[in-house]
Amino acid sequence: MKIKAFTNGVFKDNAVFRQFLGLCPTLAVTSAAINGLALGLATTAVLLCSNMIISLLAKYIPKSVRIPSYILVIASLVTVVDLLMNAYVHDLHKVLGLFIPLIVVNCIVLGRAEIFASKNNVLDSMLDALGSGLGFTLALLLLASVRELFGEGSIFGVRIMPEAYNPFVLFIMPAGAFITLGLLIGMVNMILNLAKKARS
Amino acid sequence: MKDFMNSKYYMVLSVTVIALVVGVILSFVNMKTKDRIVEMYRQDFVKGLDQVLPAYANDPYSEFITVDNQSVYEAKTADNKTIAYAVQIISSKGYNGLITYLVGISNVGKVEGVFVVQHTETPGLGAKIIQEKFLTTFEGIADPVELKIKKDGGVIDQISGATYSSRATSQAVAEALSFITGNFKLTSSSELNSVNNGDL
Repeated sequence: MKIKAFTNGVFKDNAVFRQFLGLCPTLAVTSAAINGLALGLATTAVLLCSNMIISLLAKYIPKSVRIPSYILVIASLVTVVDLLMNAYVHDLHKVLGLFIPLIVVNCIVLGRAEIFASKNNVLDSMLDALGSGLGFTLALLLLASVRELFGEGSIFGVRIMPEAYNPFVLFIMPAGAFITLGLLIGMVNMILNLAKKARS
Repeated sequence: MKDFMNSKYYMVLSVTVIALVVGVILSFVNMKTKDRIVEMYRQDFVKGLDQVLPAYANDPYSEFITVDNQSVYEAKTADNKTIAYAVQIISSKGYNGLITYLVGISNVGKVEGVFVVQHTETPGLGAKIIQEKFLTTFEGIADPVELKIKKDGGVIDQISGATYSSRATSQAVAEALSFITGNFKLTSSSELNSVNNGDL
């Protein structure tokens, strides 16, 4: 069991801040903290199942058709999550409904299947999925909280800014997503560089 | 065996088997969740009728009448007098796909209430059309000319960053109002006023 498979996904190879994967849903849904969290968790669930199934199936799937096979597995998992959410957490599904099918084309899921799950055993693949999923969820949550805080003055719908604060709507507009993501990536890199310098 | 696993027949076979298995799983999940999803949407609709109609004594959901291919839900008092009508309006004028509204019109031709049944507007922006703060601004309006956002010369405050969604909502409410006033004999509020004035 490699614990590194887990921690790498959260920090060193964070999907959003270090690998720039899955930016489409990242930019699109992060207008409110609850959306970011929910999509992160839904993606983690799909990632966990797909890594598990693909690490079990990998040796039976011919190399030349592995991508279509992975996509079949992932697309079905996403559809199952979509149906289950619609039936059991209907209100959340009404908010996120548009973005759930997008998990299919999220390159994190296919990326982890191709890079990790197809070459490692089930347990490691599940750890890797949990790590990448958690890293993705944290990144979405951070980005969404910053955008909601400045764009609406609240986090998770709870008012944080004083009443007099006039929401800066740019932050919840698409352009604000790019600007906030850029600033956050810059900050993450700055902190990592400082940490590196302090160590040496 | 090794030869077979490298042959093109195996390639076809493996994808076929995966497709079959996921197909069976998907149809199973669909079968299990279908009824619940339909029931959830029905509950949403009844919740919506409660929002846009005044307290009623009948069952408008199952006793609807059809006028001009449009289902009309009537709220009746215990002595079978219709006090308000609700119609479902589907608008394609939103920013992102179709928006389904329920609009209640009272028997004096005033907007009784507006409810968004289903939408896929942008979270954080257009999705704000579901907020009570916005929807209550329509209540009590009897003049279709006023049912426009301020930018278009009406009285409705548009949601900042969501002009399309606000405009679509205003148009849907105006459409419902003219549909009801055009198809049903209402006690017009001006008549009521003149009667009152006559009394004075």
